[in-house]
Amino acid sequence: MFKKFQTKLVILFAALFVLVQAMTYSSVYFATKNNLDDQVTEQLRYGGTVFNQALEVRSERWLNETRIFSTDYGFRSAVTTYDEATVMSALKNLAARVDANLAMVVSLENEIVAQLSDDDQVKFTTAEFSQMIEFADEYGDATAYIELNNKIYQYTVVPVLAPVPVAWVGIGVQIDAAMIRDIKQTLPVGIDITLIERMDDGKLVPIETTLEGDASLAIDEILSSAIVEGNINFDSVADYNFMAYKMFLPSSLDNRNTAAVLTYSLDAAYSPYMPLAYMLMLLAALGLVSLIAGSITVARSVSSPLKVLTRAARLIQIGRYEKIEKIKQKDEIGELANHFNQMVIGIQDREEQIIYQAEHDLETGLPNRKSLEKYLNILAENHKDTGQEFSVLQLSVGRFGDIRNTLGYETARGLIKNISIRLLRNANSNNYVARLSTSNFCIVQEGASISDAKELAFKLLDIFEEPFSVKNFTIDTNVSIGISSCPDHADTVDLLIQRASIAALHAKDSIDRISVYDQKIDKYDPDQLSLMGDFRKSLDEGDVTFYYQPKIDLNSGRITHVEALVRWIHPVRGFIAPDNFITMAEQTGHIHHLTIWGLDTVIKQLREWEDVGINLKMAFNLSAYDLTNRKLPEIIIKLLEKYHIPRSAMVFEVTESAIMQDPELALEVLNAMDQHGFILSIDDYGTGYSSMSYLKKLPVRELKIDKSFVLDLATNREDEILVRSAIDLGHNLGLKVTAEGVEDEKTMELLKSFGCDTVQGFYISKPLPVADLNDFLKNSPFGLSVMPTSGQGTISQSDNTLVRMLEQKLAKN
Amino acid sequence: MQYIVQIGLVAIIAYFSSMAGDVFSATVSGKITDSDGNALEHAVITLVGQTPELISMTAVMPSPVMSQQDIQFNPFVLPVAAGTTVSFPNRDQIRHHVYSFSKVKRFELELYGEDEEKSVMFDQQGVVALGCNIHDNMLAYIYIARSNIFAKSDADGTVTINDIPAGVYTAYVWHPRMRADEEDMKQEIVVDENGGVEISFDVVLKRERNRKRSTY
Repeated sequence: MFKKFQTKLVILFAALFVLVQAMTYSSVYFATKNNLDDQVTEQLRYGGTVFNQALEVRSERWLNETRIFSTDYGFRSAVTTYDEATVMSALKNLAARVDANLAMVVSLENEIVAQLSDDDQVKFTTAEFSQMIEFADEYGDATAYIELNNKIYQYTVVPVLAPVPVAWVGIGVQIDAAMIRDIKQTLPVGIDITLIERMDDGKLVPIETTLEGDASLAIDEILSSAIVEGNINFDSVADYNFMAYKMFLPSSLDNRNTAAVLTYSLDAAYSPYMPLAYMLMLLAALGLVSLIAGSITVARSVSSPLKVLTRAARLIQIGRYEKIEKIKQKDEIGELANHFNQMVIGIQDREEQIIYQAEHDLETGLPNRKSLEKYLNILAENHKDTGQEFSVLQLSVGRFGDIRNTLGYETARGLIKNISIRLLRNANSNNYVARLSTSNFCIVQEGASISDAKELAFKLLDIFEEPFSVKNFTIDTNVSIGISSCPDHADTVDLLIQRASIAALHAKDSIDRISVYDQKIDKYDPDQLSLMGDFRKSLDEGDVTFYYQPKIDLNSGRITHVEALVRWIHPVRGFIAPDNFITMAEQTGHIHHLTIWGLDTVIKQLREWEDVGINLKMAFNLSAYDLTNRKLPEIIIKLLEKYHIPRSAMVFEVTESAIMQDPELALEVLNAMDQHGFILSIDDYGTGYSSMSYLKKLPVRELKIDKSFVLDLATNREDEILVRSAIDLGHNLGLKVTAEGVEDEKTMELLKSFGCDTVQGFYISKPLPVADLNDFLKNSPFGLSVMPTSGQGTISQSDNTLVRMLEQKLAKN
Repeated sequence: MQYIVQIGLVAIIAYFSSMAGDVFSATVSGKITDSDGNALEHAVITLVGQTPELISMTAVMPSPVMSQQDIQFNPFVLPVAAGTTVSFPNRDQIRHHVYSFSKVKRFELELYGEDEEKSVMFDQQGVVALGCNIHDNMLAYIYIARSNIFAKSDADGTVTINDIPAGVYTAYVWHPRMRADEEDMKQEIVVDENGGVEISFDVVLKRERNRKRSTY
């Protein structure tokens, strides 16, 4: 309902205060009122007692006076002798003495002996007097209050004793206003006396009263209100609140018609308390005002610091760490503010630490990859605006895994730390050194060309010449550096780092251990990937085909073999080198498909040739991947069976480097193939490891000398020695020897003279599509070697071929 | 309020032979009680003969005394026959002023100390209330009977009258606090020569006067 703390607090406090005040006030009010009412009740009862006693004292006095009077010897003498004059004079004397209004002597025979009155209108009522005599005869005396002519008189009747009663004497004294006023003086203050008489018709009539003013005007109503004798009744007439106590005046007679009503004005009783009540109300009002003011102050002392804190908290939320102003309050709020500030400092410190940890490598304290990217981003942006170039050098620590495993993590960590220190020490002011990964650092050179970068790279290599000394170990490091540069190699951060990394990878294998990125070395070039996507499509659409290059048996001079060479003529990019896409196919997993497709294609081709009477053997190149496929012999056998081609029709060429990828498995596969009767040939012999031991182990029947030795054979003496040695080696091992790259006649003649078994090269023919090959086979001076139905036939045909070749030569010239 | 005193009077009247002039004496006895059955003292029974012989009969009476002793009259009730002189001796060492405002005999005697004695003759039948003007609580009655035959009840409320000649009598009862009139209480009795007569009276008494009040 009330959202503001201040409002809530003020309303709550005010409500509680009012409640408590109301409770206090009402309890004080009721306690006071009850107490007052009790007091008034007590006062009235007490007043009644006092009033009664006052009347009694008077009554007693009159009685005694009358009694003494009655025993006067002279009076008795006068009464008993019926001396009326004397009796009358004595009565007058008595009346004067007691201020009686009436006096009378009555004989025992109820005859009035003498009577006097100060008012002609008033005389003793004989009926009541007789009753009183009867009572006095019985009890000795009698008193009663009698109404006469709207006045109240007290009658006193005593016998005249001589010493037995001889007559009765009575007096009547008016209870007048003066007398009750006198009596009122002896009562507790506030009590008023009203004498009332019940008339014969039952009506109550006030006779005398001490009430004054409005109250006396209301006296009839006061009388008419239900006043029960002996009870204290509360009543109110008009504005006059009072309590009343009614009592009959004591009488010897049975008829009780005269009563006194004592009234106590409650207004008068309460009036001394009214200033107190007003004071209490004033105090309550003042209290409420000061409480509201106080609670507003308290609420503000809470809510205004809270506002400050809330604002500060919002700022922290958006990352602005602002201390709040010092709150001077020394209470919990002040403490909260104080702690809040400490919290801000704490959060700030921790955030800085977290950011530092997020941006730095903890082992070296160098910026990490994330920071590097951030930094490079700035440089890249800067480059966009200003064209300022920059280079990224990735420095890879070689054999780091070995170092770690040998010398332990602690030492490795120490080495990395030392490397970072050495790097920083030798970095220029425009260099930014970061740690990329476990064994890779990155140095960014601002405003530098590629040549500057290379210069830096050489300098860095230099500083790594000196070994590192870590924990008593002296460690030689082998670092390589790859360089990429913006904008030459890339203008995005990711690509720059990636290309520096590729270059570093490449540098590892290079002689000077420094490599600048080049798309050629980047087998990860995304262009290559899209090429592989095209490759499948090209297979289906016949863009990938086999070209066949003839091989000549130098003994016969005839074509006995063809080497199947895969060709991909990309519809857009044209000729794509097999080395390129085969490596790619190996990396992307397409090689398996390519191998099966290739085998199927060439064996099918053998079938086609067979069908038209062309008898050739097929040389097929196996990739490194193929040599890891144990199922390869089985696949080939199935295909041969499919096309009904004998196993001897196939020669499989493998390179040494392909074998070296996984020598054991390769050897296993090759042995299996050999056992199945396939002829194996070592391709590109002389370029790889040319390991004699392997050569010995390998189940090959042929050795194929790489064309790099053959191309310049005719002019290069060294090549001649090498080739001749290789041929001799092969023959000595029982292998056939083939030379490729034969481009002129002299070379072929030389090879023939060296004893080489077969040759291939542009001199004979470049690789040809099937149709062209077919034509070549028909028209070539080398011709086809005929299936040896007999030894003779072979020789004669061979002769013919030689003749034809010679003819061609002549024609050319 | 009303005390009914029953005076049982058993009168045994001795019979005397009148014929031969022989005197036979009989006894009248009575019992006087109040309404509660309590014996009533100070009651006086008077027998009035209905024949002239009986009326004229005189009894020999000792000289009656109403003394003042210990600020009291003694006795409280003194029945006498008409014409009797009663002496008033003062046996206290203080003064008394004995008076009577009764119509039967009005007098006053100022008695100045011990052993002073005065006497008053009561010749008229009735009741004389005696008071002392000095001591208001002193009260006594002299009952002047209507005949010579009377007696006062003792503490047992019994009355005995001996040597009563036979005849018809009217019996009267009186007590200082008797509410009723004597005439309304009278009874007729016959005294035989050879037996006694028993008689009883029921008397309503007035309330005893509060004497304390009068000591003011």
